Amino acid sequence: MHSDAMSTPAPAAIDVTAAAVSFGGFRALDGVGIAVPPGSCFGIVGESGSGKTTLLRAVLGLQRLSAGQVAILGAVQPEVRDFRRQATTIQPIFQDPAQSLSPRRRIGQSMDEVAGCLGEPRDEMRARLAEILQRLGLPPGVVDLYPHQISGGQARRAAIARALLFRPRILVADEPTAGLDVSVQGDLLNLLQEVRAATAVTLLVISHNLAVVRLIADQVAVMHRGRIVEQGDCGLVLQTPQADYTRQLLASWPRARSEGD
Amino acid sequence: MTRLLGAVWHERGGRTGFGLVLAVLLLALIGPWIAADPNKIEVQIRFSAPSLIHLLGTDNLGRDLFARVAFGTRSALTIACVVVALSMAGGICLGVIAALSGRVVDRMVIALLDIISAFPVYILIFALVALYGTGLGKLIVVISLAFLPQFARVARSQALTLKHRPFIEAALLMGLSRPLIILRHIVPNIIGPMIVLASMNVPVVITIEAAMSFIGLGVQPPATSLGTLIRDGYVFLDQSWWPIAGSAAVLAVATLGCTLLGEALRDAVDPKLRGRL
Amino acid sequence: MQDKSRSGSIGLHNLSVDFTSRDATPIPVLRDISLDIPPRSVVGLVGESGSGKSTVALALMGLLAPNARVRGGQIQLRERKIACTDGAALAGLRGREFAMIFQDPAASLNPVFSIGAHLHEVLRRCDPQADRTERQARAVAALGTVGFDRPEARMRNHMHELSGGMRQRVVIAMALLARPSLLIAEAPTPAPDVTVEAQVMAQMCALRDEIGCSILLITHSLGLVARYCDQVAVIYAGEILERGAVAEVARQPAHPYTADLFTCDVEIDAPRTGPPLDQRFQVIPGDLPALRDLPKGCIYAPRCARAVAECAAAHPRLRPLADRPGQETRCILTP
Repeated sequence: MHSDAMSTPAPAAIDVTAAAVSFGGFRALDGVGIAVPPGSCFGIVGESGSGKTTLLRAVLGLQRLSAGQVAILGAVQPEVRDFRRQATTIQPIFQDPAQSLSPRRRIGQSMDEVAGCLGEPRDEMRARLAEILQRLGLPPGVVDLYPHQISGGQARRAAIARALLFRPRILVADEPTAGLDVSVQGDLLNLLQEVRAATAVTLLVISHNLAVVRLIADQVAVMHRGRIVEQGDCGLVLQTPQADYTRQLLASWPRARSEGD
Repeated sequence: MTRLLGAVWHERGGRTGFGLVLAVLLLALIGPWIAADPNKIEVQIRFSAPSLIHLLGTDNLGRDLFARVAFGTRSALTIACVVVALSMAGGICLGVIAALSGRVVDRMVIALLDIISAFPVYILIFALVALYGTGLGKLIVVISLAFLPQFARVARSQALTLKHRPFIEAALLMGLSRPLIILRHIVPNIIGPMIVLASMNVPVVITIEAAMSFIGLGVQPPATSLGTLIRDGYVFLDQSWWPIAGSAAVLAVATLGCTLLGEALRDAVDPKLRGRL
Repeated sequence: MQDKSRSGSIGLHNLSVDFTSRDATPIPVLRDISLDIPPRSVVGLVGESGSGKSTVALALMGLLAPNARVRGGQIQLRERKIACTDGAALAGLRGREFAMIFQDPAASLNPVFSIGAHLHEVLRRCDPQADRTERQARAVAALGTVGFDRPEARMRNHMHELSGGMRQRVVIAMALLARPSLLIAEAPTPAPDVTVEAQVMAQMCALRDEIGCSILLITHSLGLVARYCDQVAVIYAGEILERGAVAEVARQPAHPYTADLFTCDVEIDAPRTGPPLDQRFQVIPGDLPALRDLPKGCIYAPRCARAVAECAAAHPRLRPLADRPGQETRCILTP
């Protein structure tokens, strides 16, 4: 489905134009524009302080722009978002998804809040949840546990399950592999890939992990000091980088095997 | 919760405090049931020393001091708990609102808190009593107001650190309304430190109430409180020291017990604060 | 080639550490860890979270948490043999023979002291004879060596006045003054930015060339090991599963865990097989074994795809490979 995403006249899933954010004198975002085709995976890479997290927060409506605008599915977003309406359109997957579950509530209680927000009967929601939990490989018993009683991997899945309960059109993932060991990061990535394959959701992924983004993203934007230094088709940008910064980034990337001394 | 109590019990100070508070609570709860009428005047046995009938002796009018101390303790503890509960509730509301609202509201709340805490507690209470007059209800409101800022400040700083935690932002992005976020996600996560602060303020409020009653601005006769008892005992100190001994001892035990328990609770909730005031 | 200089190697032999859990049962977090660090070489200790790699560093520095107990182990430093249980002896080595560089420089600088105070402190400890003027001269010279333009002025700066890269250079200057025989560098998880990481590693290698020390690089990143290390030891759940020269280990891992780690590592130039949506990633199924209840045989066997019945029978020893000198493995299946 990603191949015909470009040709369809449908509005971009996320369209950010000339976005700017300053904290004091520091320009965290400076004239940033991206257009994410529906159903695609769009990667934003950059190092800390590049502004990629600020861009993500601006897309979600957690950060006000000092200039520019964000449009989601063609609708320009007001400065103060209606989060309740937005919830079924766009959902976040935070850097440490386990942290997005309230520590003093059972997993099931956190899930029940979704029913409240959607105005859906609790039983219907729980039925959908059971299905999602099974799909994500979580035992149904997790609903009775507190976040600290389940493993980190399970908490990640639970947080993703909650996001999926909203049947969002767009998922925004912040550093999905940060802090994960190489032996387990693939688990989360495969899960995201399967979710994408099953639901045709648009995925905006923010990461410093160039190697991973390179493989899963259709398009990529490279950020540096609040600006996008280069963007375009993922394979193209990372194979034949035009910007000096992209080249530097690729050159500094340590290789485990194919290192030629 | 059981883990918290376990940690409190683990410390010697915590155990001592727990024991002392329990003793005072028993006196306040059971004392009035087993005691004689605190207002029964028997002038012929005035200033009698402790005996089996009058456990703490009698006062200048021959009233049973054990009964008076028991009732006085009950009213002192009730007042202290009501005051602390009021300041805590008000403080949480104000602090959380300040933390979650925009900068303007936040600044206004902080300014208000600064104005209140700019006055020394007693001066503030005298001023407010002078403005609004005496009376137990008014006194409770006035002391609560004086204690509000510290609760509000702690609540605000706690809420500020929670504000950007992922689970709060996730709740926001789920479309949960702000009052629900505050009630379900913020208050349960700040209540621990607030309860610790409350337990450390109970003894302070007990002494303030005693002081106010001592100078006649608090509990009015014939009702008793630790403060009025100490005052009455003080007046007749040259004739007998029994009347002041019981009430002063209870005040001391209650204050010490609450302080020790509060410190142990604080250390249990946040071990980093150990040894600090 | 390494055998020739082995006499000068820094050795760690059979380090074992227990942590005491809340219910007072000992948990064996490190078992029989041995490392051999040849002079002027960079040795990588690579492991995932929970492997105990940081505990090795802290044990070498004598900085273990109070609930840790060293059961045994010996450090061989030139002619000296130091027992790892001897806290006082380890404290004597700390800062003089062994120095630790945290890759987050903010963690090792005290914000209330000036840069100069930090450098003076190092010299007071390592060279108590030097007087104040001499210390000042050497500190300024060290700042010059790590590339500060006006080192005298920098001496009066505080941490918050310096950028991240400058702070890192101050930490390097501190190591330069201490002239340790072994520099222990711990790469933080989550990993810092690759450009910063590359700078720090380049500075450390320059420092190694300057003072002739060895480096023990503690990391979870195979990429870092491949790029900067001569030797590598792979640690898993408190045990070293494989050791050897980096080039050899990368070319032909002698333990399935090492091989699996290399497979899971996503290379920057890994080929894209088909459209992005069809990409899938390798994982090692299962979890770390519980340290309280370790498998009787090979500790990796429960997760190992190649495991056979014999793997669970007896605990394998680290043994040299006949056809690959210098490479050692615990896997009984490797010929």
